[in-house]
Amino acid sequence: MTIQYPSEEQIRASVREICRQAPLTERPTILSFLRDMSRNLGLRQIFSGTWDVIVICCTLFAVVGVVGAVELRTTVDPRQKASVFLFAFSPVFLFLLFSLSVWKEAEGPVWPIKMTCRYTVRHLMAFRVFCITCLSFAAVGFYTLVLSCVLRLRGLPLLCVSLSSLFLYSLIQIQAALSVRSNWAACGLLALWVFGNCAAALLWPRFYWELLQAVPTLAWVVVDALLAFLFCNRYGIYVRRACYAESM
Amino acid sequence: MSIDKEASLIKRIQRQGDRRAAEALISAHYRETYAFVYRQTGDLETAMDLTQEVFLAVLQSIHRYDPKQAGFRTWLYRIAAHKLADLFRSPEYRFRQKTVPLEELTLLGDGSPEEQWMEADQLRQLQLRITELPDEIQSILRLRFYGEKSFREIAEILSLPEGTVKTRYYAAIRTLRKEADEA
Repeated sequence: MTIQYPSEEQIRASVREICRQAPLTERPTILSFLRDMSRNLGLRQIFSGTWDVIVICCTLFAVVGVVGAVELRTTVDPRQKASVFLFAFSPVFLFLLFSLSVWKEAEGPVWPIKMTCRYTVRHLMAFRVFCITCLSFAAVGFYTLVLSCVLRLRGLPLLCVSLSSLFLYSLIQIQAALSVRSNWAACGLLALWVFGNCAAALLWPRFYWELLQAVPTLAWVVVDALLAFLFCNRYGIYVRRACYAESM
Repeated sequence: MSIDKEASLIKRIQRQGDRRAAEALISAHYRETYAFVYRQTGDLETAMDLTQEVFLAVLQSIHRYDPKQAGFRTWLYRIAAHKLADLFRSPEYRFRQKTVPLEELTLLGDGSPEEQWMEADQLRQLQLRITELPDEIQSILRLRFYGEKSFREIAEILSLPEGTVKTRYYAAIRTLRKEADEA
């Protein structure tokens, strides 16, 4: 079969037209994505329909936090117990926020509304993961500092332990979101980590304490920095996937 | 174009949305993609339009292209095969194929007008029969007939085992032969 090729001029014109029509844009960085989303959506829209979830989680966090603090004040060795408690308890707030948001998302009639918006559900989910993580870090950081004041313990080691636990959890959460397609499967995986961690802290507190004590504060700072870097790296991949998943 | 040059162009498009890199990449693959499309449509304008659509889809989703998963040509053929399947499935195309006036028939070969018309008619008949087959089998046949790809390349493009491609190809050939004999 003889192929009737277009002329060189026609090919050049066609190539120019393709490049004119194609959405050739720079790949967004995490920062540009977050800036764009926060400017255009704001906190009210991003948490639209999930305020009840946030109130429930904050209340639960406050109740468990106060009970934990009261218990720790009466204990013989508050430093030991506080570290174990913070390591196990820190990711619970983030886990609850994430899993209840996923549940609310699946139950609520927000899908058709979101489909008419400029951003897709994936964009919203990616930004929400970041906001929820920030919220958790703020809540856990604040609680740790309050606890260290109440128990008259040094704040930095406790803060490092709780942040490491939270970073570790966030990293697992992002990795689960990247590797497991279903949100429910990701929630199940995270539930295993959180409840396994809490159960181990309750059953073998001494082992946990020895493990946490073995790491000096400086090493905790390094671990935190490393985990933060890994989290940002994985989150960048997650954002890119969220942004371009629908374009094909 | 060397693989390194191609990879560098793709990176520039992905990172900076570089228009010149996009033009260079498309220009390098334009004729091959056009030929693949033309062999199936047999019409210059349709082939040019579809080639344009293929490259637009490529640029739209290039941020998601991962060279570790497939070579660029493989990925390009995959998109082209999907676009062709969409075209042949469209009611407008099917209607046009069944009702094309004699004067609009494009002469494809080198022989006498009668021979060329017969060739064009046979091509159209074959196209129509292929269109009736499931999408995946259509893609296998098109890549084999018009893309002149080996079974291994087709397996790579369609992400299927080579054995499956062979089995489906020969089964489809048997079906087409049987239908042609009955006609």
